[in-house]
Amino acid sequence: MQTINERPSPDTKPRVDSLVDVLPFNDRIPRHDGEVAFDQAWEIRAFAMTVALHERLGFPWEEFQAELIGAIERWEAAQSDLEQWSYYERWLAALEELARSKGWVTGEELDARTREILDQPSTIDHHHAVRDPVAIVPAGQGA
Amino acid sequence: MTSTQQKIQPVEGLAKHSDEELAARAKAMESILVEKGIIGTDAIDYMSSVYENEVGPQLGAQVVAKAWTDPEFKARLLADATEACKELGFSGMQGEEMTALENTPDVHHLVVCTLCSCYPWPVLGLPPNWYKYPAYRARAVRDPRGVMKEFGLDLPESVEVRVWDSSAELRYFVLPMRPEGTEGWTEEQLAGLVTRDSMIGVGDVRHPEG
Repeated sequence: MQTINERPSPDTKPRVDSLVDVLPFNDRIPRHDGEVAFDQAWEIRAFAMTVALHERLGFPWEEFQAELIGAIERWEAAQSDLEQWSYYERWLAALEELARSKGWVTGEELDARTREILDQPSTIDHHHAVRDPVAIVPAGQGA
Repeated sequence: MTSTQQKIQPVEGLAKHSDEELAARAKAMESILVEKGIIGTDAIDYMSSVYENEVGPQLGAQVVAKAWTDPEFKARLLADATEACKELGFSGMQGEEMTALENTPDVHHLVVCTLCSCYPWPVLGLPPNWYKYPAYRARAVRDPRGVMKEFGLDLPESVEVRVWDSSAELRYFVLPMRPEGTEGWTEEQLAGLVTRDSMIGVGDVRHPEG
């Protein structure tokens, strides 16, 4: 049975923090009050996917670390303005390389699926505005 | 600069990619990995919950604090939340409409997306994982008081509870009641009392100590 308000166990965060600590260009990781922070939902999904893959499949974290260094180097080699890179864009590039080298996905699969997703209207699931409450529990009927 | 490949360049391409493209690539990766059974959505959800409070610029708290201190802003917020939020410089709203629901001593609002996970992004940042769980989506409608109790919110019986269905076109968030004992507080101090859960309606705001 799924609990709705599940929180991660207290030992998880220090473990994830320590994975982040060993990543290259650590000072470039976006932070908010000292904590790892994200501006976009996809950034946290890419982050969480990578950590979850590492923990569930047990590949050494150094492999992702190396891919991330490579992804940042490739960017720097091609750019004149070295300050313009985005940490999580490079992160996603590194994750894609890792996934390809592990044989989890091919570049073609990823391109095709990305195209499908971009072609879907963003409101496909749940389009219409619902302007009235879907349920009302009147006063005096508290459980 | 020349490129050796002409097809749609993946992230590895060196052009600047839009967040829409990057979001689609991340989603594509996740859906393929999950489909192949390499990783479960639950495992990814779990890891994303570690830092979930650090997502987004926490704008909702500012909106609520301003409404608590500025009656004219509050009136505009309740009349048209999308426009009122734009006043505070929030962008990223792709045409969807937002509505703020004001809690009163007599009526408490709870927000759910019954079909998926429609959520007032620009104001509340990333939805918590439980927001998209079937357990929340169904039970928030059937037993809203029970759900709120699980989150530690036990409302008096004299309060009516209204449940609102967020959709892609119209997203709701709750304007909670200003806690007592905060007279003379600045907007910034007040914003520190506003919790994400209070703006979804499952939780209370923080109360001043003492």
